[in-house]
Amino acid sequence: MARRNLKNGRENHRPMVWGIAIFVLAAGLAMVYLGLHNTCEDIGRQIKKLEAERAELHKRVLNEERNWAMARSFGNMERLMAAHGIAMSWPAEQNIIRLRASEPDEPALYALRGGVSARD
Amino acid sequence: MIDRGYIWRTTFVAVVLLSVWAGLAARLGFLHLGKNESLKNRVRNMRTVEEKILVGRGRILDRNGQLLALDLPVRTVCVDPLVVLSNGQAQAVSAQLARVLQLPPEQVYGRVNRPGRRYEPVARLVREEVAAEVARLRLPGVFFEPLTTRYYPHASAACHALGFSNKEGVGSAGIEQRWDSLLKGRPGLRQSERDGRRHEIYTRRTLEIEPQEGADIYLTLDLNIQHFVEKALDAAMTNFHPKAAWAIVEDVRTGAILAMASRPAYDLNEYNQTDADTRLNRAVGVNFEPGSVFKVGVVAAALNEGLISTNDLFDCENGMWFYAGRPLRDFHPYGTLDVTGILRKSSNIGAAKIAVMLGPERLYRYLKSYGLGAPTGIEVPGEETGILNPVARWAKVDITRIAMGHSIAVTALQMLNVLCCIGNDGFLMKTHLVRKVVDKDGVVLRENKPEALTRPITERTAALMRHMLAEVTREGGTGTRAAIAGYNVAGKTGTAEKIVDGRYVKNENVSSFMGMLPAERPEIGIIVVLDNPQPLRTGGVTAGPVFATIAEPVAHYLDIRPVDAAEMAYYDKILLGQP
Repeated sequence: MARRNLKNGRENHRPMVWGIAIFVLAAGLAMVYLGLHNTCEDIGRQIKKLEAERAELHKRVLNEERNWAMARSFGNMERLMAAHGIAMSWPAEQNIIRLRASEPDEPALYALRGGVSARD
Repeated sequence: MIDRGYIWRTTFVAVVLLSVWAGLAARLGFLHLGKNESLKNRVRNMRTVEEKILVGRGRILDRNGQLLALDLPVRTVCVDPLVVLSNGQAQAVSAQLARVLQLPPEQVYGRVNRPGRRYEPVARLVREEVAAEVARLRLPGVFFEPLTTRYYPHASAACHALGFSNKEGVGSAGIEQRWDSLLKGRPGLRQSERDGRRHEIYTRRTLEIEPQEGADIYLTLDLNIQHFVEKALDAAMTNFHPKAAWAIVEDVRTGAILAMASRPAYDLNEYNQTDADTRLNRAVGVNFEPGSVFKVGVVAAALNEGLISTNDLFDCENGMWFYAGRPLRDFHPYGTLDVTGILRKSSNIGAAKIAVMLGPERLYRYLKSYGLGAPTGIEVPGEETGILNPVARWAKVDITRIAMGHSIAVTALQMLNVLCCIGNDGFLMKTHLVRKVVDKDGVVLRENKPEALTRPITERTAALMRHMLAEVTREGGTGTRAAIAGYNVAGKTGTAEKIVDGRYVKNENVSSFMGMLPAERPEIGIIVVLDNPQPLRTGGVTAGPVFATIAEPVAHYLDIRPVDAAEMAYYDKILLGQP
């Protein structure tokens, strides 16, 4: 009798066990969902931050490009040269030594030179 | 024993609370389940954000990658006068702002001292570095508004070719206008939601269309050569007092424009402070009667037809010749001149006799094949086509006038093309100002490569012409002041009388010089035009020296190799017809 009661008791507890299991599973899924949601939110925030950072860097690049263009401008060069007392002139032809990759001349001209290219 | 009053009170409170909760639940259910489209839309509109993702215009660069135009982030420095005045710091804030922004203190104080106002812009288009300096002062009531503006680092350099884009970011002149569709790009679109603090929630983005940034345009212009040209033109404006001056430098072999400048010029960053006349790109936008530089095309045509040779002699009638009952005069009287002499001395009568030998139809055919009377197709707006009437509309005397560059109108670019055609062994190249268009990913969208349009004259004719034109800058020629040391320059002077109120005026001229170097195998062609120089008026003494001032540094800068003896012998053989 007692034994049968025990069996009956187990059978009576079975739905509760299932209920707890489903609850735990649901809670687990909810936790996973929350975790994923938070991760996505976090990544979203990071992306937003990086987007703002990229925009800021782009601005800086543009500013630096402008500064570089100004620094290389003729007006600035002339101002700097005047400030440092530098006067420049073009070199005379006899002072120029041209170092160039050998390029073939026109065939007739090459032959005229006795096989020596003007660019040799 | 429980007090009955207590039971009633408790019951009453419970009923009230339950009623309130029931009411709220009912309202909640009604809001969620009922048809409350207007409310839903209101909430949706408050949360939804739809914004255009704006992109800057593409950059414009020269052939070496030097920046000529870019979109620059700047700020407007503003003040909240209410805050500043309530702190009693109007004087101090004004003084500090004026010092950093380099503005008159009274002007800044005038902005700050406006009781009751909440917004006053103190300085616009302030660079980021300067704005950062202002921000470091931590002045009360001072704030910034970010914006982007089109910026031209070199101010007036190549202003007529570059043009500008207006405040709305629309290209309104020059390259900026012609290439607006590629420069401006396409804005993107973003649909998303925002939180209670009005910050966008990234995970709620429902639509994101990436913007297409404006493409970069690389020009054929070289900023250094442009500088040489502009410096020379500025000096010409001072020395010869012309109403205007313009010049072009072209790569003879490719048709690429290396420099294009006009004077007067203007600062592109302050384009709205100039008039239309100053903004006119005269290099392509002004038709003028070219005068004697035009003889080059006429003589080349006759040579090419075999009607004349370089040594043929022409009677220049001692300076006065009647044709079709109308007199034609030379600037100086000459007796007999050979063809080289006609070019060297710039004899109108000699050139007219050659044109008469050629005949109107043939001359017209050659002029058309040089590209005259039609636009060159250069990539800037406002190009004039020149004026070349059909033969049917020519009066009998016109052929003699056209031979000396009257009764016809050209642009400087068209005239330079004729010379470069001679420099390029007879091939007329398509001129271009844009080298390539590159998008932000580095993909080349368009690229201009050298393109031969026609070949009006043969290689030998071209060589003979160069040989004769080299005499113009030698002793006895009209263009000796255009000569430069170390190079033979082939060129031609021009002095055309201007037409005022329908009549030619003696004391007002368009003076010009066009030349190329080295004469034997030209690499660059240059034209200089001065509109009414005073008191010196002829092309040889005004435009000639300007040409030399440009050509000398350009030849050094481009490292143009002078022709040596062996090479000279080779070209001499071509002239003798034995290449």
